[in-house]
Amino acid sequence: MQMATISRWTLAYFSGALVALVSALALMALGLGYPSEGLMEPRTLVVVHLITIGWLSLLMLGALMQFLPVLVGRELVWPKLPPVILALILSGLALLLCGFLALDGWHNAPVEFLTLGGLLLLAGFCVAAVMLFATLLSARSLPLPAGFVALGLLSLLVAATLGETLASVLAGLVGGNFSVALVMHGVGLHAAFGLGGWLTLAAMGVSYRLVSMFLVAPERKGVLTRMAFWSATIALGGLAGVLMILIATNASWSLGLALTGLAAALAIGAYLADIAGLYRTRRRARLELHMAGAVAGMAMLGLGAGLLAWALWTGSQPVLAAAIHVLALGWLGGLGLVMLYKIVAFLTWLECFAPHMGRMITPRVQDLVCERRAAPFFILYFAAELAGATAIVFGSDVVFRIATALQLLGVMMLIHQYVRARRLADLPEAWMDHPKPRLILPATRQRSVA
Amino acid sequence: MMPTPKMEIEADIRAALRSVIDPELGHNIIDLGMVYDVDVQDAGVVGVVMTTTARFCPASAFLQEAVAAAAGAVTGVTRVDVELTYDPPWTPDRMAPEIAVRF
Repeated sequence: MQMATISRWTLAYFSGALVALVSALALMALGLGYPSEGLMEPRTLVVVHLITIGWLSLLMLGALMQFLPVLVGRELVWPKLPPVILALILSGLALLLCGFLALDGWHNAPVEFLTLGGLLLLAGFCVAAVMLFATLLSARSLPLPAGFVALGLLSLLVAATLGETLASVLAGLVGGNFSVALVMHGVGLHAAFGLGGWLTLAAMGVSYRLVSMFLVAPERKGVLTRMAFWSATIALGGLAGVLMILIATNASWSLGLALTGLAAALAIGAYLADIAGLYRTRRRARLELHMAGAVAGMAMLGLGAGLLAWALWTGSQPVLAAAIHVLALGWLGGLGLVMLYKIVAFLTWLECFAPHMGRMITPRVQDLVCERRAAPFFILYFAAELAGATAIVFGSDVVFRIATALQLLGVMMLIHQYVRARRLADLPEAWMDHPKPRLILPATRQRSVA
Repeated sequence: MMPTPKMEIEADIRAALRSVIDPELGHNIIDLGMVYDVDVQDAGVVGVVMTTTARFCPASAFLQEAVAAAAGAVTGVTRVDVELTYDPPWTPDRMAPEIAVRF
């Protein structure tokens, strides 16, 4: 029987992701990027890509390398690729950020860094997508959550290709009417494929499985799940149509965008209703901290989608920025932080105690964390997110920076909790002397049970 | 009815398996209803059929090994074959009533 194994590089992905998140929040708290500067200013682009590529994409790829095998019941195909992918993405991101700063005349750095960085990122994402697609295709049958992940991976490829084209335009390597049209209409598509198609759909797919597992609730296979999936597919198809019209005619296609928006709203509504059903049908009465925190993350998806609809209806740039902030840091980032709280403890338990089961009394996964200590920092994080988004809407730079500084404090304290879990620092006394694992790169034994 | 040696070994194995705790749910695998069958054959050869609460969980192989180790340590057991199955899948209805009320 095939079994999922421990992904050795997942914690390295998470570590890189957290460094990027801390860096982005610190830059925003210092007043770099939006709203202190314009939405398309180079330093805003630095912060945005630190969050979307450095934090969210690394987090999602690390999680998929661990949980896609669980989702499809097959081992990760080509398990030696994760460090190569990580190196490509980190080096590509570093060059891309230097390229953005070069647009501002930073140390006379060449703007071609943009194209080179984008190329490395495209290569890293392509290799990751091929590896994860191959794992999906090796499964005998694909559950619906895996379908969300497949759509997400397709979107990643489109977002990365579009990003590389935009980078080439900004670097002056592509010109003409197409470049003007791409900057005018392509940036929104790039963001929609990245934040919506890639990150949101992949998060939906992974969360369906994880929420069901953690709540001990029956897996959802009903009308709402199918509606969420097919609406998301239609939304993605609509987005692809808009992109093709843009490439063919250098013009935007308003009707296509409207249809995409409607289908996306339907997908999000069905997904949230379905997840509410999972919580209602759970057999685990008491919610552990990560599952209570996930409710806040899901609520942020509803809020972010509502703000986005408002922004598109009114054409308000601050509301659009607030919507993106809530979707990126509230929904995806918030859900990521709460899931990390569980996943880090679970991976640490697997590494330290799983091999001893049946031979000694082992702790529960939950024994590796102290919820009472961590809970206030999750509350701080989500409250600061709401305050920050409100400050963006009302144009208060000072309040935004204070809220971001508080959000940064919350993240730093949560990272401290993750490190404590890795250090076995919160375990009951009986296991205090248990050998501690390496912080980032676990020394796991390879497992393959035929 | 007097218990046969095979029945005694089975009882000892089930007692030993109570030391194996599901890491996520925090209860032993017997009370959680994860052990479907313990079959003691001649010469102490034992077959255990079990499941896990989540299909393809990364802890599955470790749980399988833990069952083999705990059952193998029982006096009279010479060999343990552990089969992992998801047919039928585990449901919370399989839990012992005293665990279910604390769940």
